[in-house]
Order: sequence, then C-alpha cells, then structure tokens
Amino acid sequence: MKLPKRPFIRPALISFGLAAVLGAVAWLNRVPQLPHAAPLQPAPAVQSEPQIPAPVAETTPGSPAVNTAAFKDQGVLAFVWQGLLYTLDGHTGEVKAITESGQALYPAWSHDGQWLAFVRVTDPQAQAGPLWIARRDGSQAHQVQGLPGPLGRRNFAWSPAADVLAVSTEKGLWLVPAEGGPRRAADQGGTAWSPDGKSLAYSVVLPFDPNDPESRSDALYTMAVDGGQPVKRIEAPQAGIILAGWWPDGKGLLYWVDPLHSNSIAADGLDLFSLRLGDTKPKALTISLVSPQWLSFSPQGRLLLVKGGGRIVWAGKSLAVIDVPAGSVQDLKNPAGSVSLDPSFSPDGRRIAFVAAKDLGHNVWGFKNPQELAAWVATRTLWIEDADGTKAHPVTSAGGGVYQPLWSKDGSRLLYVRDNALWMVEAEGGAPARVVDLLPAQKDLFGFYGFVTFSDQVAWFRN
Amino acid sequence: MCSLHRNHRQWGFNSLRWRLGISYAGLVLIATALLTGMAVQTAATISVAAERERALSGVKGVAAAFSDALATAAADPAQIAREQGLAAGGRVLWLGPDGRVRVDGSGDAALGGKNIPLPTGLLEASGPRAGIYDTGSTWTAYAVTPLAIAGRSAGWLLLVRDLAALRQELSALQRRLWLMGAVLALIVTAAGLVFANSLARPLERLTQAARRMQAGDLRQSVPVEGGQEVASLAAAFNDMAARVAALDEQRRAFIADAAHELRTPLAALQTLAEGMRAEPGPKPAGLDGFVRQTERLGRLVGSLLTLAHLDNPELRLNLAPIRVRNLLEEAYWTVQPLAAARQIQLQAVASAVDAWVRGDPDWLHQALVNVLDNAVRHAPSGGWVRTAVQTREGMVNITVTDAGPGVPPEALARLGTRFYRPAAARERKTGGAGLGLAIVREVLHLNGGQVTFFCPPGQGLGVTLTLPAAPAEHKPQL
Repeated sequence: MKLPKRPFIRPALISFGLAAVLGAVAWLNRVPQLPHAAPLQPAPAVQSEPQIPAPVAETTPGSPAVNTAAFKDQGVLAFVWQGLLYTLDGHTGEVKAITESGQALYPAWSHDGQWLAFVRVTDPQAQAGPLWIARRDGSQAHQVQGLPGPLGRRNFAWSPAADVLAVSTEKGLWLVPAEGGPRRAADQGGTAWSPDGKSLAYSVVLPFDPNDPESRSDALYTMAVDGGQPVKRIEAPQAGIILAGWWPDGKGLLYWVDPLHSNSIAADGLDLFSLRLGDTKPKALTISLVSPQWLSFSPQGRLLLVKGGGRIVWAGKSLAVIDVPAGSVQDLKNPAGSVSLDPSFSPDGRRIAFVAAKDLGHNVWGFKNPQELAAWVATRTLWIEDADGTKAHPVTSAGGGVYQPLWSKDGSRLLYVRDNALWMVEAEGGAPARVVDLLPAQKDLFGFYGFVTFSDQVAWFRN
Repeated sequence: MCSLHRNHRQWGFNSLRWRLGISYAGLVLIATALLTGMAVQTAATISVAAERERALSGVKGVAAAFSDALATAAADPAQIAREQGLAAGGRVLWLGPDGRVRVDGSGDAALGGKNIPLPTGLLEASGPRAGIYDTGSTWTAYAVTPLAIAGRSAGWLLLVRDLAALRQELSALQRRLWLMGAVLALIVTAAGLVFANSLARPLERLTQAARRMQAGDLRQSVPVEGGQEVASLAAAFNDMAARVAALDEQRRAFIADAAHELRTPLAALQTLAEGMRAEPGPKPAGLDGFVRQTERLGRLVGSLLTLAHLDNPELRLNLAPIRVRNLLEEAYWTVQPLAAARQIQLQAVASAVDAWVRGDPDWLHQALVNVLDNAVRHAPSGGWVRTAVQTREGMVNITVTDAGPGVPPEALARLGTRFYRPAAARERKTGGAGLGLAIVREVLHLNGGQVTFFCPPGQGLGVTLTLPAAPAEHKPQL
C-alpha cells in the first residue's frame, strides 16, 4: 500500500509501529509477575500483634468434666487430662485446651500467670520431651526450639520476676524468654532463681579424671542474669550438689550434698545445707528426701519440710520448720501413729496443711497386693495445724487418699488430689467439691516407695 | 565542479548491503525478543501452575503424615516437621489456631509463638491453599492446609518451598533463547549481506557503466547475471548502450564527413573572398562580413575536423616529456594578441616546482590554447586570466582562472560536452560553437589526464588540466 505523501504521516505511522513492537517486546520479556510476599528466610520479620483472634475454649464431648463453680475466683488452674493440657480460669469459668495431641507434662506458670510452660513428652520412658510455652489463653503456643535434648521434671523454672525460663540441660544453662529464642547462659548445672529474679544459682561438675568418676566434685555458682560474671560460692569435694533453692530473702542458698554423686544415697535422703552468700562454711540443717515438692516457704522466710531419711515415705517422716537465716530447726510432732507428708504453708505463714498417713515402720518395703497399697493410701488424710505445730486437726471431710494439699490465695480453701481428681475444700471443713478429673485411669500410687507427686499434672496460679 | 567518480563497491551504512543486513538482523532480533518473551512467559505460567499444584499436594501429604505422627506416637513435632520438610523439599511450619508459629521445621527458635508475614488471605481459606509469590530476592511457594490431630483442630500446616531454582531456570532459558537469537541474527545478517551483495554488484556495475558513458565512453556492456529483474535491466542497459554508441558513431561519422565535405568548398569561398578583398578598387558591400563568416565557419569546420581526428581510433600521439613552463609560454604567445586586443592581463602564479608532464606537445598546446582563449574571451575587458601549476601525487594540475562571469553550478557537469553552451551571459556574447572545451577534454583524455571545471568564489570559471607527471628518468637533462 502506498503511504500518503504527507510529511508527518509516514514518520508517525513508523513511530507508532516501532513503539508497538518495542512495547510488545518489553511486555513479553518482563519478569513474570507474581504476587508479592515478604521473605520468610533467613531472618523473618516478626509481628508483635496477633492477626488472628485467639482460639476460643473448646469444650467438646471429649473434654474433661469441670466444676467451674467450685473453682470460682481461685485463679487459673493448668491440668493434664488424657495427656492434653487444659486451663481452667476461675474468673471466667472458661476451660481451654492448650494442646490438641501428645502427652503434656510438668505445667508451670510464669510469675504473673501470663505464660504457661510445659513439656510435650517424646520420650515416654524418661517422661521427657521438648519444652513448650503458651500464653494463658492458649495463644502463641510454640515449641522452644534450639534447646539440646529432651527436658524432664526439674529442668526448667520460671523467673520469679520476669517472663523468662531458666532451663538446665546436659549442655548448659539456658535462658528462654517467653517471646524469643533461647540464650545459653552457662556451661552446665541445675538451676534456681533468686527471689528477686536477678540472679541464678547453679551447680557445676568440676573437671575430673574420667577413670575415676566417683571422685568428681561439684561447685555451687551464682550469676547475675544480666550478664555478670559467675561467682563460685562453695565446692563439695567428691560430692554432688543438688540445689534446693534460695533463702527467701535471697541472702543465702539451700542445697543437698550427694556424696560420690550416688543416686542410691540420694534416694535415701541427703543432708540439707544452708550457705549464706559470702560465707565459706555451710550449715547442715537436717536430713530430707530430695523432693522440692516437700519444701514450702512462709512469707516470713521460714522453711517447712519433711524431715527424715530413708526412701520409704511411710516411715520416719515428720515435719520441721526451719528458720533459714538462723539455721534453727523446729521439729513438729506427727499425729499419733502417722507420718507427715506433703506439707504446705498457708499464704500468711500461720498455718500448715499436710497429709498424715499411717506409719508402717521401717520394716515395710512394699505391699503384697494393690489392696494393701490402697489401704495405706486411704490412710492419707488432710490435716491442718498452726505453724508452731499446735492445734493440729484432721479435715475429715476431705476424705482419704489425699495428696498435695495447696492453700488458696486467701487461705480459706485447700486444693488437693484425691481419687485421681482435684478437689477443693474449705479449710474449716465442710463438703469438698470435685473440681476436675486428672486421668480416667488410676495413677500408680506406689510411686517411688510411696512418694507420688501430681505436680507433673497440675499447676495452680492463685492470683 | 566536476568530480572524479571512483569505481568501488558501496559499503556505507546507507548502502543496500547494510540496509538489507541490518534490516534482517533487526527483524530477527525483534522476532527473537517476541518469541523469547512468549516462550519464557508460557514456561513461567506452566511452571508456576505446576509448582502450585506440587506445593498443594505436598502440604496435603505433609499434613497427613504430620497429623498421623502426632496422633499415634509421642513424636517430637519439630523433628516430624523437619523430616517432612526434607521429604517435601521445603520448610514445614506448624501454625497454631491463632496463626502463630508453634514449630518451625528449620529450627528457627526466634519464630516460636510469633506471627510470620504470610501472604494476605493465605490463612483465611477453609481448605488447602497454595500460591507462588515473589519475595524480592527469590520466588517462594506457600502452601497451607488446616491441620487436625486426632480429630481436633490444631491450626494450620504451612509448607514453604524456595523456587529460586525455577527462577534461575527461567532466566537461563531466557538467556539461551536470546543467545540463540543473537547468533541467528548474526547468521541472517551475514546471509543478508551476501544476498544484498548479489543484488548490489550488478547494480554497481550498471552504475559504473552509466558513469563511463556519461564520461564519454559510450561502448559499455555489463554482464547479464543475477536475478531475473537485474538480468533484464542489464540486458536493457546493454541494448541501450549499444544503441547510443551506434548513434554516437553515426553522429561522429556524419560530423566528420560533413566537415570533410565542407572543407573544400569553404576553402574555395575563403580564397575567393580573400582575392576579392585583395583586388584594388571598390569592394562589394558586406565583403568584410562575408570574410569574417567564412573565417568563423572555417574555425568551426576546423574544430569539427579536430574532433573527428581525435575520435579516430587510429590516432597516434607523440608522447614526450614536456616542461609545463614552456607549454604555458607558448600558449601565452599564441593568445597574447587576443589578450592585448581585449586588454586582458595574463598572469602566471609563480611556482617553486619545475613541473614536467608526459604527453603529446602539439595536442596539449592546442588544449591549453583553447582553455586560455576561452578565458580571454570571457574575461571582461581590462580583466585578467591567471594560470597556476601544482603537482600532487604524481599528477600535475594546470589551473586557469578568469575574471569572467562564470557559469551556473548546474552547468559545470556538462561543460566539455560537444556543442554544449551554457545559457548564461558568458556564452551568449562570445558566440562560440561549444567545441573548444570538448576538444580540451578529448585531448586530456587521450593524454591520460582529465579536465575539471569549478567556480572559485568571486571569480569566473576555473579549469584544471590534470596530466600525469613525467617520470624523472624521462626528463631531459638541462
């Protein structure tokens, strides 16, 4: 076709055609268009606010039977039912499932009750697994990754002042904030928080001859959480150190000494020592089983514990109140024919709740059949007495087979375990109320020569 | 100004060869760009769709395995996520019902309990969903599916796969196609040049033949080859050239014959007129005019005979070394009477070189006289005619300029053509026949030189006679 001979028509048509061709080239050769998304690796941007509302409580037919009225205004209860971890909010009456699968154990509340730590069992034999953290409402549940090895009952503890966990592993001491990754703080050791949450105490195995492991010695260290240098407080020659905790005023430490690092010796009870920070000589207080559950501190700084050696709990066990700074021990008298177990100071420190069980004597090392065991368990009754041991009396309405009584915040009630369920009873007596079932099947109540703890299934935040 | 045309191939960027070659290359490159773009876009669309389906099926499989593992055994979710991620070729994350990370299969502890910036709407679907996204530095496939463990809703399972390899493959494909296109463009350009050369060469031969014809060599013939159209053009050109040559031959023969036939009666007339004027007594009226006309006619016939003589292929020249200075002095002597009559000053520009040329002295003398005569005739009375001699690259240039009115630029190319008289004031008054400069051109041509015309600024006509310089060994020892 012959183009018109107007001077501008031909250049215009050529320019238009050229532009069309170049446009088509550019359009076809553009980078393939995909919707944009923020990169996930290597350092994902973290958003602080949740984008999705927290899950609501699930009370499906498979949920535990809960008596919310019995727990009204009693804080928040974390408990394990059929392996799953639940929370019961005494203020709202809501029951929330924190986990959907697996076996949860060792729930533990943070100091402010906003976070819940627990273990999801991956090693059923050792009852250990990775550590998990979740918010009180179940949101932000996540596995703490980056920690070595599975964790057990005594491997982690919340700071009393911050939302930080101290985690002791075979490969060192770690600090795990509720939000964020773990940070390695020390080479090794079991750990205990100071009351103000600013320091940690931990034990360290000193270098030893591998050919003579029994000769190894432990040392006790303290360390400021904010990065201060570790301070060696004491060394136990050819013995292990098992931390019991800090003095309530934070001025000293309590610990057991385990000669030759012997598990057998430790099972029969160890000397409990008290060491004032700065001193070089500790003071032996008494012999007790290595059971932190049997230690209870009063606001006044007194320590209530179960005194007595021997691994069997139905013989030679009584209560004692220790003035920790002074190192004086006050023995409390057992109810007649009984041993005293599972002690608990009331919040005001004036009263003591404990379990009295029939004293079977040192010659009994076991039971011939479950019925005999059940008969002994049935003798476990709830008792209350004043802090000086006077006015001891049973709370008969609570029934038999009582374990682990715990005072409510106002000291008017007691939460305890019986018949594999949690019960609440008025301290002054009255009919107990079944709060929640723990397991459909009965727990092995022989435990370790009678020692049974339900703290691996229950955590009570009383505020 | 007449220019010297060289017979060489045209390789400029405006030549047919380059235009055709570049056009081919451009077309190939454009075609390559279009096809490459279409191919890459198509491949990207297909690949992205396939990766989306792969991610979707992958996350379903991972979710099923993850759910089974966590429902039936005390498995470590992080380990399961890590194993499933390895199996699925990606990163598996377990997100809780609140959308926050519960477990990261790659073990990033900092993500625990945190929201991660997922594409909008990904977690809003009730079923499995997958998408491919550009995360800036790479492409990433996100696939998510609701997760249920032992019949309980447990949030979502997210599978993230890095598709950097796909992006690199597409880039590599694009590079390969472009490289192939570039190579193809080079090949086509070369082929285009060869093709264009096959087209251009016959045309160039035609152009050269036409230029030779324009220069006076009418006997031209070009090979009849190439494509049909080009061969037809060559054949037509040959026919035309043959016809023109024949007509020119007839014309020359006619002029020569006419000049010969006119010379005898014209000589008789001149003799008779001179006799009548020489006799004493009263003269017939108009005798002087008659004599001048016969003299003019005689010069015309002489010029025609000279041209006929020059056209004779049997003409033999007496080539010899000639000192240009002598040649100019003899020519001055010849035209001096006319210059004196017209009060024209003949000026010779001093030259430091003693130039010698090789040629026929008689013919070159006549050519130079013709040029000077033409200049003297056209210079205004009281004006000047100037000569200059230069040597350059084995040639000697004898330049004659005058103070005349000059000729229009468009007439320069035709000067030297027989009987051509520019329609300008320069020629109207002198009444020349248009043969003097034609003789000059023929003489120069026969002596291996050429004549060029130009109009110097502020002057009249300039004529340059270019002759081969005489070799030094041929110069006589002075």
